[in-house]
Amino acid sequence: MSDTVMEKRCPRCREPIAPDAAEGLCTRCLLSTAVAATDGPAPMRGPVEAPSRERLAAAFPQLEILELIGVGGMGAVFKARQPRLDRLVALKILPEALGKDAAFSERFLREARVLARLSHPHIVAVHDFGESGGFFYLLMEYVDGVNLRQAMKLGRFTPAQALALVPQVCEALQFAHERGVMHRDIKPENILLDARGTAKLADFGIAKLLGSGGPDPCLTVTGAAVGTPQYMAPEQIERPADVDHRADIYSLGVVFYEMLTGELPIGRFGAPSSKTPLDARVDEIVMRALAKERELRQQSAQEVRTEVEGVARRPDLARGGEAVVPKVDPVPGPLWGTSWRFQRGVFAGVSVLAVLLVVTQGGTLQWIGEHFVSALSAWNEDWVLASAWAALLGFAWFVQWVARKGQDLWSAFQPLPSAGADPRHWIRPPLAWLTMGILVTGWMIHGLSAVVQVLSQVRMLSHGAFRLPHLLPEVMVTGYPLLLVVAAVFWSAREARRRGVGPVTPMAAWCLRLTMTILVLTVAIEGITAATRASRLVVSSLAATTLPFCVACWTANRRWRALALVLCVAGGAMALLGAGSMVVYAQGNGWGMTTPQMPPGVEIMGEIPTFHPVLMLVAQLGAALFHVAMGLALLRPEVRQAFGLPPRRARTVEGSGAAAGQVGA
Amino acid sequence: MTMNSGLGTTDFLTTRWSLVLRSRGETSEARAALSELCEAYWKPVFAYLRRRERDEDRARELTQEFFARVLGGRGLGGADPQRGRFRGFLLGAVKHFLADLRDREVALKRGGGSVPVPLEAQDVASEGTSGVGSDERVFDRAWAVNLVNRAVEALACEHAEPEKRRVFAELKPWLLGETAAGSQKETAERLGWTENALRVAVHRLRRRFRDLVRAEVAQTVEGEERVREEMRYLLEVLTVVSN
Repeated sequence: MSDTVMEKRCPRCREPIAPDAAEGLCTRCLLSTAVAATDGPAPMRGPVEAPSRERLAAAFPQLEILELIGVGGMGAVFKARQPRLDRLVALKILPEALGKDAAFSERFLREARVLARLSHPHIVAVHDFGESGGFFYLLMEYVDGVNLRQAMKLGRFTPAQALALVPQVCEALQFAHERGVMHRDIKPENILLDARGTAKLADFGIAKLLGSGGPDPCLTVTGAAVGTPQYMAPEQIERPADVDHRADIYSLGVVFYEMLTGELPIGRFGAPSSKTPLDARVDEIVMRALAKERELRQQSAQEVRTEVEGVARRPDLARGGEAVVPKVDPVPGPLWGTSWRFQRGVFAGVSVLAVLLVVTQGGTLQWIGEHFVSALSAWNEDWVLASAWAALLGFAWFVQWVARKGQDLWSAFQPLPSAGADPRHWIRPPLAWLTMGILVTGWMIHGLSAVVQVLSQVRMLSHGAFRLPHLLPEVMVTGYPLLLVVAAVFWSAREARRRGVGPVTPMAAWCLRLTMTILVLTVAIEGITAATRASRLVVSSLAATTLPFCVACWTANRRWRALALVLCVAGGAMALLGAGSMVVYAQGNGWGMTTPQMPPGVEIMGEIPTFHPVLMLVAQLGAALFHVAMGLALLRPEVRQAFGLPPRRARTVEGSGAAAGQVGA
Repeated sequence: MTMNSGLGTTDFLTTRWSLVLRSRGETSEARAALSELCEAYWKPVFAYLRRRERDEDRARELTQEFFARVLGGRGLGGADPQRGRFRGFLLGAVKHFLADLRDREVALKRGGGSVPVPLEAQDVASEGTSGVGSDERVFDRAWAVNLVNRAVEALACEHAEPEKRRVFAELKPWLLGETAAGSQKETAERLGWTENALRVAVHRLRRRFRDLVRAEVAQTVEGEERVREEMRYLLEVLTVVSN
């Protein structure tokens, strides 16, 4: 209604909030939350139908049945109250079909007795069990909270939260395993969080109870796999008879993985850190728990717990023996805390600028020098300026990269430990091959064009046109993208190693070496040809954008980052100006592309060699292609990780096993 | 300590229909039922009449009269619980009431009595610069707002104790969904809770709120499917109007 005074706006939908809205909350969003919240007592899945409340009340006169909490393949769970004890309990009613099986009764009583003995703070206690009114039931502790699935839906778990939770589950598992009880159906639905956020494992052994010998073929096939397929260990599916406690460890690994990444580890899945910024040691724990061969997994829940706590309790964070705050947030890396859109913008922008700069051959500064700052063009030794840029640049990368990843590099090319080679694992398929292909091709073209220029440079040098100091800054500046590519390859190898997905086979090793050789060769060629790039102006303008870019990548300080971005934009503007100046310049020269520009301070003795325009064009295109490939490489997770960049924003947590029917945002 | 997450069964059983039926007559029970109905549905009815009559005082007067007369036992022959939505029924009743009133006013005018009713305003309203459906939309929107507000107020009532009120104040933005609320961590810190505990609390608050809204809706329509349908419809109404 237009006559209402609208001041406040809803933070969610940005619509004005009506003044009569209760509690100052947007009515529409409130209602949409209410409509969307469908994870209530509605049946989630499974063939089981919940018995009616009346029947239950008749069967359990000592209980006050309050409400249905959930229905699943494992029966129905009701919230109930024991009036005499004045406590809330959860009443689990097993599928009724089971009651018809005489053998089940005996087995149930035997198993349930074991379960009832599992008394542990992280295990949902079984108060009572038995048969009443035709129902097999378990009377359990009522956990006033949510299950992990619901908690995950409310928002992503940070690694720290996940690391705090997993040890609790491990503790419970270890406790049960020591008493010969396996869970067999660990999944987010069975991990409950109470009001204080403490984890409690529910439904211990229920899967087995229902699985071995259940009479109803639609519940389980006798002797067949019991559990929830996505969370089941391979051997649990293939050889259900031969399952031990390590199957639980696998399932726990799946839950862990899902908590960290929001996805299930299905098919050929990447390490969690490829999807979310994470300590590499966490990767190791998760991937080990998820090993196909149970011999390769952690051999006990205790072992998982020790490992997780080891990561959570980083010695460098524990000062003076205080209680340790689990902090695993990966490196507070560059661009940390910024959105993926922001980062992508920076990468795309820099890539475009790089291409622009190469294409315009950095006429920018010259143009500015000629038209605005006469002092600049008068300063003969402005390569010093370029050196300063380059030195800063190198420093930025050095701190960023070596400090963080240096130690990993050393081991990258050590032989991998286990057998079963698949070179495809080095870099993630299938885009990886494409990207690497483009990179290598780009470099080769770039190198070829450089060779052409080197020849001319040799001629120029022989005429004494350049002095040696000019070489240095250019080598430094042009060297940095190489570092980047090298890092990508190194990182891939290292990742493969870390994941233990396969050793470097002879052929694969040769491929890798060949790639590296090509890269190293191009470094050399690039270094030499740097001097041949028509002028230091290239250096200056390239540095003008690359340095801020580096700073933007490097710093975690918002102000610095903002400044760096401003500089990036300024560099982009300069590049555009440079493009304009090039046009003017080319016009003045009758669009000839064959005359290399010489910096004002460089004395040229003798003839300046020229090249065929087509040759120059090829060189330019090759250079441009290289920069595109560089931009692409930046998008690769390996490269991002090598430089401590956070990965792309992970998908929102929407566990694939979750109940469907989420309406609205 | 623990929040009572299941609604009392009696709440579910007392639908608005039974309240309407009970409000007939002169007993004290009927008066209580009537005042409850008045309280619950004053706003949508008023919004509708305000829209039709344009004059606020007049609309208020009419609203009062509507509840007193129509729901008080007269002219409610068509109140049949089997007919479906209470919202539709109430709107129909208001319309009927208005038409009836107009007939009588016309009769009065012809009889030569003085007419204090601003007829011009009525004429404008009845000719309608806006489409036929839009008045009903106003009613439906006010209905939806009223319903959500009642649920929110009920939720606030449940958090009336000082400590709970503080918690509710912190948690209520989360009712809007994740995007609206600030950082989970900060909120948890302010409350001195762990983040997991916050998750649990938020989840329960949402669930409770959902239940309250459902309960409100369930009083006006029969059946689970109908409830869901009605909730979706009301959301749609709010969406369309706010755009």
